[in-house]
Amino acid sequence: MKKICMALLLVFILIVVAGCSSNDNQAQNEASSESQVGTLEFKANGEDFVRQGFVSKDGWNISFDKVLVTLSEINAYITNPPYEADNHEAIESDNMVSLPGSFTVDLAEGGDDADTISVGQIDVPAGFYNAISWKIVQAVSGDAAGNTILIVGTASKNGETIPFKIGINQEYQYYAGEYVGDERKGIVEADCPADLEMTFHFDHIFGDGDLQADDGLNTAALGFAPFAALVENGQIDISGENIESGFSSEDYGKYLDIIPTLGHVGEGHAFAEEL
Amino acid sequence: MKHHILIPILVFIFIILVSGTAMAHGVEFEYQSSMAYLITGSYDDGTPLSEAQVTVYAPDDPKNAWATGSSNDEGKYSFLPDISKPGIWTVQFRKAGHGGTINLEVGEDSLAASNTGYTSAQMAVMAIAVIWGLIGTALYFKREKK
Repeated sequence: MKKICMALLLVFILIVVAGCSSNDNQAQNEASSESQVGTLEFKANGEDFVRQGFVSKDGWNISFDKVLVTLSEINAYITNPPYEADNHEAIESDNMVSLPGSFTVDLAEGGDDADTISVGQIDVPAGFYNAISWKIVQAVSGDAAGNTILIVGTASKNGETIPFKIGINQEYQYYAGEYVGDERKGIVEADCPADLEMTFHFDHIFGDGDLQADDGLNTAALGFAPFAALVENGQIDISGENIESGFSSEDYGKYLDIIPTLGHVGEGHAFAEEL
Repeated sequence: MKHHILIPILVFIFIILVSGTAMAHGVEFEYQSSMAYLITGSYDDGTPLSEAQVTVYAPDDPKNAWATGSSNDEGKYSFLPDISKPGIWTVQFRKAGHGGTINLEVGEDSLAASNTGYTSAQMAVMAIAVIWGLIGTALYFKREKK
């Protein structure tokens, strides 16, 4: 009977050892990619909405002169299993690289067909960086001081033209998985640099006149009318407390709901935590 | 005594040989199980992500699309991964500024399951059960007769 028990125990041990050796192979594959180094560039993108302007859900033709966003604590990660923002959790990974510093970038910089804005680049171990996190924080100096996002432009409708300056001061941290778009981003190789993109969807604020009125994006968006109602001396110049006091409670609630949805990775959503 | 041992073994072998095919009036069937994935994309409010652009990436070539296509009117897209490429397969849905990613683990378990209908763990349990049964049978016939 003892021999039988020993035999069964031996079978069990063999199965366990086989499982462990499989995991070891996986770990070796991940480590081998770290011996090579490549360049990872971080970019910010306001999309064609910002570069070319667009028509809001309520018919205002909006163009942008400046869209200043202040970014900080930008990190990229190799996650396995891949991070999914829909789980509404922070990213956890031992494989993290960071772009040190804070940066105020103008998403409207350049012409209609301008490239996305380069924020910075770092040398990193080769690998597939399939997650990213960043903060939007209040700028401490410059035109955007006190704001996380400063939107400057012009809105026109039915012959009326209103210059506007809208300051957003809520601070958020965004966590996102891999970029969703025409190409796959974040695959760093020794002889092949890669980039990751922090994308901002400003149609979430103003809505999109090209979509149906009952489209989910438009029903959640403010449009431009609540801002147009705050015109003083022929222009709009609002931020922070002005927005809260000027908007109806319903519109201000919408506004607070929209800000955490601005951050994306291409067309992929991000999970946002207020700071 | 030898016949007592041989008969159950022969029956066991017969069952194993016959179980792979099904016969009916001379018509033969062969089957092969597969692990197709049916993915349904939808907006947050449940509206189907219909006619979305779909891109599938295999784990061995993360840079280049393994397959492209589009979802149907119900936001559904199906594909049959190459099970010789175990790892995480990534499927992206995109439509008019909206998009999302789902990651699917196609591993050794999927490979084994697609060939036999059982996962590795299930087969290990079955193997242990068979070994245990054989040992038990051998002990039964080896027991001392009173």
